[in-house]
Amino acid sequence: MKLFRRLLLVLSVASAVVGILRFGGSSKQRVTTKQGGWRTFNPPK
Amino acid sequence: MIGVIGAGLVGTHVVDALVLGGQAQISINDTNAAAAARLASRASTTSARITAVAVNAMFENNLVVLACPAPHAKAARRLLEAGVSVVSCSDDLDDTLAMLDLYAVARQQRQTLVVGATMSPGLSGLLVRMMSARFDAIDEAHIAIHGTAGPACAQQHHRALAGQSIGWHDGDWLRRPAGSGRELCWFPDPIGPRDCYRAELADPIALHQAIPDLVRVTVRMSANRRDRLTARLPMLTPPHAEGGTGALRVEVRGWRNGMRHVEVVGVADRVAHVAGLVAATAARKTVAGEFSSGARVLGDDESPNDSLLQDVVTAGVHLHEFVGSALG
Repeated sequence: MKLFRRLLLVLSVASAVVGILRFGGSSKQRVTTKQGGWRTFNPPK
Repeated sequence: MIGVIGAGLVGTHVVDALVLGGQAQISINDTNAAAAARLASRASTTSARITAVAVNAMFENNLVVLACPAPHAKAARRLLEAGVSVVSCSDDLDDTLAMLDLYAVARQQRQTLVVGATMSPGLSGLLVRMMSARFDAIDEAHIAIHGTAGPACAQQHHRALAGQSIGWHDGDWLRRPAGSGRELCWFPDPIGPRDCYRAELADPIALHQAIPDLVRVTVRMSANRRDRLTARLPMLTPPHAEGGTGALRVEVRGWRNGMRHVEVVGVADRVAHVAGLVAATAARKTVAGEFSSGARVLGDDESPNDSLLQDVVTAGVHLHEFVGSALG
């Protein structure tokens, strides 16, 4: 039983770490393009 | 005749760009002889004779492009001593420093060694030089890159996140652990915003060499948490055959009309494609005698920067500039 609990604990900690690494802190959603954007340009000849 | 050492992704793009530019004879060498022979057979046309040769035959060329994995310094020295000019695609920090030390050898042999003819360094130096014309004076250049070329480039970038980054800061070299200094950098579409970190890359060395007036030079590389967590371990999964679309972002700060001014330009393209075009264009200019002898970096006073950038753009690299809004 003790071994089973430990195994569950390890699995839950591991899945939490994987979840944070995979999905956490993604900044794409919070950034808008209201501050400007890109436009094509050619260097002066 | 121009030789290319390295039949990987960058080497392939160098050969393609040279053939498109009208180069009639190219010799290729690679540690994988089959890859060199395959590239030679694929790239040969009626007007261009491409041959796979042994490494000793490289000394018979007028110029050799080093598109193989770093280090390049030892090969560059041997080629220069044999009277062959060299264009290097290395972006390794120690390798770049070692090649810049070959200035005296190159001058003595009256040959040219172009160091860092890639996207970063290379195109980054050309863009900083081009943008400097829009300022009264520039004092800061901040480079950010995203993506890799082939597997060797991916491994080099993996190592770069585990080393010591170097930056030029108020007249002194500033060393910080790679993987630190997170900054959200906007790259041209379709890359968009990416978290970028300090890395052990050669751009500050090359830019300081090219434009000594710069007071601050930094380089950052995009990475995710997994990249940073596993940077000090061997690569857990083999790198992709090609890194896909990458990007370069160059931010230059300085003075214009007595006020602080910032300009940002960028490129979003396949890294190997851009690196191959820059290296091939630098090779053609070197053979044409447009570079003076010695160790050169793109963007320095004695390089044909404007015509080189023009040729790279004409060959299909699209530049973008960031246009800000006062509304914020």
